Amino acid sequence: MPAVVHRSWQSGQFLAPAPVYLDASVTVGWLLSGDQLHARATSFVGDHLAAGRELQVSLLGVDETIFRLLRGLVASATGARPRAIQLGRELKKNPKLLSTFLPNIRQAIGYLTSWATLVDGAGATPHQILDSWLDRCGDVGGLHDAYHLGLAQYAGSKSFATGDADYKGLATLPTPLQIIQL
Amino acid sequence: MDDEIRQFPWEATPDVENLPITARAVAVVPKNVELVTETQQHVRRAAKEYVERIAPRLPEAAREGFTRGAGMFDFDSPADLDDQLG
Repeated sequence: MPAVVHRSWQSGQFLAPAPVYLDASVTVGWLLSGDQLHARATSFVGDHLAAGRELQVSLLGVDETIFRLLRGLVASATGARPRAIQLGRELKKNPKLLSTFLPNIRQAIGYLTSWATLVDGAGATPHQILDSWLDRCGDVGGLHDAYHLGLAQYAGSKSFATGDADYKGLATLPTPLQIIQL
Repeated sequence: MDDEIRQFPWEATPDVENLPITARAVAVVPKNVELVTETQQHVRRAAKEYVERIAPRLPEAAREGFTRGAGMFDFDSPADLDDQLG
């Protein structure tokens, strides 16, 4: 059996082996009604919750989720397009932006962590996670993508759910992992 | 599309690892590809209807957070994070 199996997911067709690691494309897709993955991400999460499957999010995934929420909130407040927002620059110019939107962020992350298990490589040393992260940099093109895979490996995840196509070139991992493409 | 979501047979959803090989091949053929090509308004309505339908079947501890969080923000946030953060 190959260490990585790629599957395209459709609601009602199959359930991913659990625990299922979710990257930010899934969490953001669930939270944002305007996201192109909204219906798909929502049904993916709902199907697996209804079936009692464990869904995992990492602090890295939470960080990316907050980043995109915050960028969208700032864009909405300023009337700009989200893509036009340089969030780091905006936060430096107006340090109160973060605290202004913090209640929204807290609420969203509270909802998320009410049904998802928060993981961060428990059982592994930071050096083990770092080694895995750097090893994965040879498999996928994105620095964050590689970190997600390193965390999933040590979180005991059986599946990795994502809306990003960046993982399609991934051929092998030290542990069996199914890449579920939403 | 909405009919397909309303009829979602979640009770019978199989574990993919337990399916025979031929069934796996069938299982990954997209049946509702139009879900991603419909207007965003249609996608929102489909997601809302799905949430209403699935909510009673969710574990109590997850129900409120899942239903309240789904689509709680109404803006677009393009997935170009890698361009900004690596």
